[in-house]
Amino acid sequence: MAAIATAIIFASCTKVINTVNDPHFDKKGFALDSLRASFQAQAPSALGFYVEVSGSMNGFFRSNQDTRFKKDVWSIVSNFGENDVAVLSNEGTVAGKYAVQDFRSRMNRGAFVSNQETMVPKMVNTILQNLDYDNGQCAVLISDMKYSPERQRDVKVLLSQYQDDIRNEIGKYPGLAVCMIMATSDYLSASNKVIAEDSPYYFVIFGKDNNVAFMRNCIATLLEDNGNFRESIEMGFDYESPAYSFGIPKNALQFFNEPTFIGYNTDFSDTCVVNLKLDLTNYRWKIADEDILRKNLAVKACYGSKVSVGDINLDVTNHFNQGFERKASAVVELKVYDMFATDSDVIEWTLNHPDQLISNDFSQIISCPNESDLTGSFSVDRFIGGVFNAIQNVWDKMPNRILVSKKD
Amino acid sequence: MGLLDLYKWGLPSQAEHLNRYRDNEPLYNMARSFWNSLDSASIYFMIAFLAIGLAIVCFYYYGYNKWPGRKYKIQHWALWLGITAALTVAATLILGAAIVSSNLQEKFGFLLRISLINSVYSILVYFIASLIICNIPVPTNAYRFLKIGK
Amino acid sequence: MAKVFVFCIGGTGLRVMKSVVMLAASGMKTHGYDIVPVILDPHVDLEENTVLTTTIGDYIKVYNNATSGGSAQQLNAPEGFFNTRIIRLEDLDNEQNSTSASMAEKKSFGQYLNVGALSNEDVNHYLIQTLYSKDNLKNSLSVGFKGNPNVGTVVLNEMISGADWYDAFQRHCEKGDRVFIISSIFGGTGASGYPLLEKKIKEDVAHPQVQNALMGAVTVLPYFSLEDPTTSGSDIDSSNFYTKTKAALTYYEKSVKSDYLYYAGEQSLKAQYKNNEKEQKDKAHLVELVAASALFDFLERPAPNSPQAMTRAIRENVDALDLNTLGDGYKDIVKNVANMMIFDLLLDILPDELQFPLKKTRGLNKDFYLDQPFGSLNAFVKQFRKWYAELSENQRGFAPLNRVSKGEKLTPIIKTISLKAKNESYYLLKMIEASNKEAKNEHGNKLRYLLDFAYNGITNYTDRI
Repeated sequence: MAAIATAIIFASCTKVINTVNDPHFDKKGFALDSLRASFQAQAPSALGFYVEVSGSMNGFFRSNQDTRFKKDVWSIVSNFGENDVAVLSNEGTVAGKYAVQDFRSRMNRGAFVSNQETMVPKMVNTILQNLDYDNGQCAVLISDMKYSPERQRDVKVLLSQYQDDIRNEIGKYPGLAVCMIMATSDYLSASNKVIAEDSPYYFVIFGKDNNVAFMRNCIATLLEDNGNFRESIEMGFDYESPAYSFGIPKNALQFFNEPTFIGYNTDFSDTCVVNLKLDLTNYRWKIADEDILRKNLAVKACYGSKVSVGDINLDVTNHFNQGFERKASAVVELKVYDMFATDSDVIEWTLNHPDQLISNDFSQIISCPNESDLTGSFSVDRFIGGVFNAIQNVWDKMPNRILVSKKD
Repeated sequence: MGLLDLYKWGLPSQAEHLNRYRDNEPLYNMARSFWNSLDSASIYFMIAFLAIGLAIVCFYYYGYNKWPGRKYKIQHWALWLGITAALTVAATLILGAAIVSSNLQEKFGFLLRISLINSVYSILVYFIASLIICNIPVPTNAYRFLKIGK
Repeated sequence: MAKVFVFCIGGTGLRVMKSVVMLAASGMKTHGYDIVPVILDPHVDLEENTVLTTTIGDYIKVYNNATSGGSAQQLNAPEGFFNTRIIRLEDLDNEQNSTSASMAEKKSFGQYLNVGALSNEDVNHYLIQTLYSKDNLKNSLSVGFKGNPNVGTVVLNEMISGADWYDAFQRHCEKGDRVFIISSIFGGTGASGYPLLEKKIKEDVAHPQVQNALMGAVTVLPYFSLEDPTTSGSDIDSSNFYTKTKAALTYYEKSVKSDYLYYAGEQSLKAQYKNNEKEQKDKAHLVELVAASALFDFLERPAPNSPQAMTRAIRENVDALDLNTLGDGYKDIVKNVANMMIFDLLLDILPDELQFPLKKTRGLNKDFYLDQPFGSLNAFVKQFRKWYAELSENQRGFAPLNRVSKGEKLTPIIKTISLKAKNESYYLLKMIEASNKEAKNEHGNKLRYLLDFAYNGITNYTDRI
């Protein structure tokens, strides 16, 4: 009796799915690679708002004038509870700290109109010195980011050294991540006339990458809801490995909950379709674009079959369940075909995150040469360059694997 | 590791089972989860038919036949064969209900089919074990009607 | 093995010997002694003689079948049924030593004495007239001595001397062998023969193993009456049985030399038999059974310091005796008889048990039941059943068992005791278990397997008696 039972179990256990003996799967098709961590946004433990009130910002702060800047800033600042708002001085230090309601009334009545310089490195220094990002604190700087140390004697030299200054400043803080979100607003003259419809300004978020991602999603959503979101760029992120699952395959069946598909029947159809579901929620918004995703999703078959990316269906919402939560996912068709030489194959796929994923418009705006150009952001390119020099985005470049087998 | 292949001949294939829900992803996933659950539980179903078949055949030959009343007659052997089948059906249904969790409507139908297949296996086990017992030199009070040769 | 020569004298001797054979068949132990029956009855036409001879022959046939081990191998005696070897005298000698033939006399007593040669004036003639009636002298000796020990005494003495069977007895009697004499005290042949034979043996100085053999005897006192001879036309008158008994007992008191002398009899003559000297077709009687048990009792006793007189009683004076009214001393007999009767039931059932496991494991199949060994056994056991029926139906019946037919409950098979076995399946199961305990096919003797396992199975339940 034991012999019969053993024979039955043996027959079942010796069923081979992984006919190519790929080392990342066992004979029966179970994946051997350990699960890798995926990038998760996380709300910060504490939040600090900093507003830069230099002369270049005056057009946003006109007394008792309604600007989109005021609307968006109030919308964002008030969304996160009763966090104080710090106003930065000419030296880049904190000139004053105001409770939210107080900040609002001052902002509305034009109390922040000034003729101050914009000493960005000092501002960054002030902010980062007080930021305990390792314990989940985040800081948001609201500024037009136009570096204008005009009162300094060595203005030109300072400007030429700006990128390095930023690099040096950011470089002091390992593990720091930075995200810049560009918004636009109408800009008013001293006589309250609109002299620029869409003048750019920035929300610069400092903190650990998962806290910054959370703030990025919230701020960008609020801006987008108001129609004023333009672009965002981020540095210092570790995107790790993408979170993924599988949808209903065609001409195959998923083996338990493994990244293994069995029963690929070439008599029924030459092609087997594996629907790969990628969770893009916490990544840069730019990745949730079909063309960009297609370009940055690398796939290959390891044992001679062919694989190509078919349809990509994106599903993005910033108000999941009618709440204030972003959900972004993509269902990517991986088509496997021409499996002639073997009875199974392994598909390797990787999601890459290129750094300079920005539009031409954004590129032009941030490299605006003229400080007084209200439609551009003088010196921001150097700021971004400096940050990139200090911190880069990384991700898990080890491929993920899917076993497709004709056996079942 | 599953042994659902043992029950292949009496059940629809996994592809047939899942294809019904192809247009409804939540149900498809439920169906897939149910199938995987059945596959995982199949080892226990196998243990059930083996254990019940062997236990009852041993009881018949080494326990029941110690009682007076001409228990050695073939009618008694056949009676216990029937009991084996019935017990296996019941045990498999109970095991399945306990181990396999799913809200799928087809759950009971599947479990019933597996129970019936299990009962066939348990009858086979009972018969083969009887054949062996009738031909080995281990004393039993039962009539060795399956003895081969003199 | 040691032997016990059992001399069965007269009609009573024959009937008691039959009971001995039946008890031996049922498993009564003879403590290592083989039984050599020596039948001394000149009543050559007596059907009982033929029946006993046949019964002994049947017993020996079954015993031989049960101890045959194939080729030259001989098995030991069975532990239960038929555990005693019975050997005919002629088989010891391989010669024809029929005791009856040499004893048979077709003359009349008067012709035997050659009375005709005596003149009427001869004093011997007057002596003979005093001792014997005209009828005595006319009686044919071929029908025994018709309850006349005075006749038997004269004839037997001459018959014993020089008889071939006595020579054979002398030749085969070895040191350690025993002698047992069965006779009646009220009859003709037995009453006369016992003291003569005893004297002959005890004075046989030429053969010390004969002279010194431990000797026992059972003398059967009157236990039945006969029909009025005037109405039946017979010469035997049972009304003078007690008179003759008293006369004989007086003689025994002074002259008997047996080491153990057993007496068995009835206080009141309840049974009445047909007075037919030719047939004597009398049913088996309790007293014969009791007398037979004396042999088994004798065989387990050591040599006494002085001659012992033995008898046995029953507990209550009732017509149909069971275990209670018989008394504890009869437990052994009742148990053995019950064993055999249950065995009889099983023999009726077994041939129809198509799925009985021993059919496969021990070869007790259809061929076995149709073969001679089983046939002989079955026939013998049917004789046993008939013998028990006679015992139980007789006046002062030995009836410790209830009549149980096939299919009925077996718990009350023995009166006053409830056995655990409710039906035959209990015994069949114990037979199977006994078979499983024994090594596989040691000897291949199927009859022996049947006897051993059946005995084992039955005594599993009856041992509580």
